[in-house]
Amino acid sequence: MKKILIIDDDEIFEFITRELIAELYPDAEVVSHLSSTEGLQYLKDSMASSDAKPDLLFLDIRMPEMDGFELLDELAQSFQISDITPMRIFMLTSSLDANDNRKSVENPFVSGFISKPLEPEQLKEIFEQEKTV
Amino acid sequence: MIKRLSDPALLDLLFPFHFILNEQLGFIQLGSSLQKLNSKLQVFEEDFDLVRPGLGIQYTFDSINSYSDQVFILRLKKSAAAILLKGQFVRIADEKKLLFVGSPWITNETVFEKTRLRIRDFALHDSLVDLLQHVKVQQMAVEDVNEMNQVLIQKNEQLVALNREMRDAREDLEIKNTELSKINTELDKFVYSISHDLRSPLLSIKGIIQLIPVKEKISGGAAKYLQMAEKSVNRLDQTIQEILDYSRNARLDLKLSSFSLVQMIEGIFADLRYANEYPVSFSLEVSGSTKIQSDKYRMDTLLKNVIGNAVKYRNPDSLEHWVKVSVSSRNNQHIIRVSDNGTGITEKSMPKIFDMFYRGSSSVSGTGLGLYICKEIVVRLEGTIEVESVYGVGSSFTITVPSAYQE
Repeated sequence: MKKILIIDDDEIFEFITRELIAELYPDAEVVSHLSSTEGLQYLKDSMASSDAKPDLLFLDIRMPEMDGFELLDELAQSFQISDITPMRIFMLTSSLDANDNRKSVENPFVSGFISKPLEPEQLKEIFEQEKTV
Repeated sequence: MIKRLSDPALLDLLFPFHFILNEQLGFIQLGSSLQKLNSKLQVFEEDFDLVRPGLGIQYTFDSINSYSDQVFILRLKKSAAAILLKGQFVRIADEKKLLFVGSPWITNETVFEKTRLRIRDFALHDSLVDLLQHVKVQQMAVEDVNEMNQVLIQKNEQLVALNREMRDAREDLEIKNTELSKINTELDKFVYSISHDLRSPLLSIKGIIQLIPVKEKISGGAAKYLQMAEKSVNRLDQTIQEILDYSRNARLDLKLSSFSLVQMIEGIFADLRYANEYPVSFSLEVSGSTKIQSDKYRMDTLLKNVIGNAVKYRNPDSLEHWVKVSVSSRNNQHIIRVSDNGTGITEKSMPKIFDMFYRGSSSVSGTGLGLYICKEIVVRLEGTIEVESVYGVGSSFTITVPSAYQE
């Protein structure tokens, strides 16, 4: 059983991502946060035990309070890449800013950059990879 | 006729070059300065040539006396320099004697030097005239210099003023430039926010449309409607992206970095393969270095458009669809050729395909901005884009861009 965390301030995207996962992978446990601050806190708390740590994180970029990259910077204050693995982090955004794409590629915590909305085929691909991880 | 001056010293003081001839034209008296020129003067005819008055005059007392109202010029024969004396002959009253009063005819400095005389050898009145003349010339020169100075001062003031104006203008330009680049950056941020805020709800509609068939059992009719809705959403999204590409290319400076064209093109192939509902065979041929120093974002937009078009405008009659891209480099230029076996371009459309909002076909959706943006990008990259096409057979776009830019 997989545990998936969604941090996205847009409730419709949060709904779409959650529903898509629930439909294609009903066994997966989905936790979502509309606030980036709360999402970060949840993430930090869950790092304590490997059971609580999510397998996947879908992280929005443009959010109030702090954006996706700022959230990852906060995370990097207390954790190393070795603490994060095997969790994979995907940036999920409707941004067209080439800088967002570049920052995603350059960030060692980030596994991929996905343009919203998350499509069924993309989700399947990510779950296929999950089996081999 | 004059009375003989009783005091020979006074005569000499007034006319130091004078001489007195007797009836036989022999020298009776010589002025002191004349003696300095030649002390051995004896017979007038042998020692002097008559330069003036010229023809008709003879070396006789009466002949010379008859020309007493004229100016004589005499050339002193026996002297190192050909010295000329200028003056008049006058008859001394009651005596058969001729007095010559005159002085050397000095026309320039060289002549003066040849005489080996000094200023004090000349009569006081001659020197005074000369001195006055000299002073006058000097004064004129000084006036000229003053006038010239005035002109120079004026010109200098004009130059200083011009310089000041130019400096002010340059400062103005610098300020304007800073303002413009600030506005540009702000506008860019603004365009991104707007595009993000426009796209977000649009993409959430798209997500929901895609979610419906996953969640619900729907009939064939409804599925078709959903497909149409999704297509419209995609079109609007495409338009937003292209407007953004256009404004970005128009406003932002080139941002150079080194990257691999092969990696970029293979990435575009992968995206197109994923997004496409029909099979297209992509091939990439490389010769030479594919590393390039260019604007990555612009290059990506350019190649995405041209390769995307090759896929989009497929020939429905063809059994197989292919897109061939070749990359080569030489003479600091990269040449990228994108060929397809698509519908091709009609001759009528050919001159207009790079125009803004021009669309050659209504069978395929588009904004009419794609190739216009490509052309604008190529201009910014200081390159060229050319097209060859046969309608019904296929098209080939050739892009030539610098491999690197000089700083």
